Amino acid sequence: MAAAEHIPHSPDTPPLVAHPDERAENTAPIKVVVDDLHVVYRVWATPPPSENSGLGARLRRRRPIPTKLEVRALRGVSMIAREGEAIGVIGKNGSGKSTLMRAIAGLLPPAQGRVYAEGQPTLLGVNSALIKALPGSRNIEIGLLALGMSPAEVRKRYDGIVEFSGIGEAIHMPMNTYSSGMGARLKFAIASSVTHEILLIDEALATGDGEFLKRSAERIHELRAEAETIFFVSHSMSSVRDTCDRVVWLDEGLIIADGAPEDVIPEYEQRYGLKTKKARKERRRNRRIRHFEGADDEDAGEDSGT
Amino acid sequence: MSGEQLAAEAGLQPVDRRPPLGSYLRSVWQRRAFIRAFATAKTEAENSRSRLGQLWQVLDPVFTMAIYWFLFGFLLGGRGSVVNYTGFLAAGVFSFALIRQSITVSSRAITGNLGLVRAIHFPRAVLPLAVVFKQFRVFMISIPLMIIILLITGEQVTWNWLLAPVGLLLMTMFSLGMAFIFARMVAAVQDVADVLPYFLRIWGYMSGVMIPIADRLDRLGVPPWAVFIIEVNPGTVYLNIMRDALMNTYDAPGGAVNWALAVGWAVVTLIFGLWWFWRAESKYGRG
Repeated sequence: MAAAEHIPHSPDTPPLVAHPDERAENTAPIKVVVDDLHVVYRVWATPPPSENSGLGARLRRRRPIPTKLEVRALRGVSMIAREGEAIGVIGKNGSGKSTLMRAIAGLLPPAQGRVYAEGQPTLLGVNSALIKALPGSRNIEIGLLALGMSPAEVRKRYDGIVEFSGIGEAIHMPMNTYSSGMGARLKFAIASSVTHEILLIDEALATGDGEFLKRSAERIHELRAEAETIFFVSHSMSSVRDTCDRVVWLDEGLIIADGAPEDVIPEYEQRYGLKTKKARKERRRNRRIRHFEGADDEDAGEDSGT
Repeated sequence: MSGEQLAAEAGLQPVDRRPPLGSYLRSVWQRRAFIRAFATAKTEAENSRSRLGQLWQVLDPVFTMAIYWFLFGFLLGGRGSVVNYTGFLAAGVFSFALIRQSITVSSRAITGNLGLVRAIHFPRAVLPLAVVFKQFRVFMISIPLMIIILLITGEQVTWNWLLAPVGLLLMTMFSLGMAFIFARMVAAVQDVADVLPYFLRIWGYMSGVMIPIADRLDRLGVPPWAVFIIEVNPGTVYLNIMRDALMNTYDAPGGAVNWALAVGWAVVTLIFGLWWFWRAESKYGRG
């Protein structure tokens, strides 16, 4: 198969895999062990029509029979995460990042290998509004109660969560009227209101605006100070640089680099052409736009705060 | 050092581990506020969807009654030896509605709340519990309707009515057990939810929701062992005890034996259902 022959590194750059145990500076307690993890998705799909069959043959065979296909999403991932680490997980689409998150959260059965953790890791996914038909206020209540809080505790934390999410009056509207950004903000606000030991964030913050990104980055730093271990999946290298002290690069279901952000990210950017002149120009333009929007939001935030 | 040894040394547990039953039940009990809030929230959502909202669920037994009355009481003459056929239907249809609706709604307790299941870790048993609790409240709203129909059609309030709450409790325990069983089945194979309405309808017919079933089967020449199975099946048992309690014009066959069976079915179904649901705890929300 093509996947097996894939050579992860361009010949001119040395491999960057550094086992975390070899990084002598970190001796904090181990919180997560991912041991030779394989995840296979079995799906029913119709195979693509073979290239050499003529038009007549394709028309005659009206409906190809669906067959069971195996998709090997993770092909032997091993890593260790320690207390207080914030680990950025990067890679292109389909590299297995979300699969790894769901497997660490215990939501996917591994085909081989196992994940061990202290307590139960909590996954914060992109599109899992808790209950779409209900207003944000109800979602906060139900989310916190499901996390095991008492009604008194819920009342105590409610205001803080609404304020952190920055959703304002819309908190009383059903969540299916929210934009994906608003939904992601509320979910992050709910989940980050308690300490989890291990928090997995799957691009949940990618849809937030500049001001919220800043606040959530601050919250992540606080959580790390409270000895949490955080996994952070993102395509935004600047978010990863801001929040993480370690980066794991996944490609086709394998870890191809694991190390400090300043070592891994430049190579990642180089590989996918993010360092070319054109990309740099585009990024600068985006930053300018974001700067304007961010400034607006900060004004609004201060107004509502006072 | 292998991953397993490393994990053991650091005191870590496999993430797909199932909690022991005892601590599982404790964490369910700890979330009783969640059960209430979830049921209330779902009720609100249903009420906001259409003008009459949940009232449709209250009215459902009334419409069902009307159809059965027309088909079996009027067209086919299936009332047999029953004096107060309308009252017979009311006690049967309203009671079976609790069982039927609890099972129907709870069958999607996991698959219909995947967003919540995938976002937060909590004992999944609270979902079927919350759904049955919601359905129980709907049933409580419909009870006055049933009582009015019974009184209008000539039933009298007797000491026997004190047995009705006991019957209701047993029926709820049984429904809860069934809710756990079907929630797990549908979580594993979604198609079960599609077959369920037909299964429930036939089960209701075979349990004598609209005709005194044992009389009828005897006359049709059904072998005695088949009649026996139908008479001890939980559907017949619960309809019999509810009619026993609420109607003084009708004597359900079986008498006290039915009450013993009702207790047995309630305890066995609830315990088995909860245990069986817990066995798959780490599998819910996957796929």
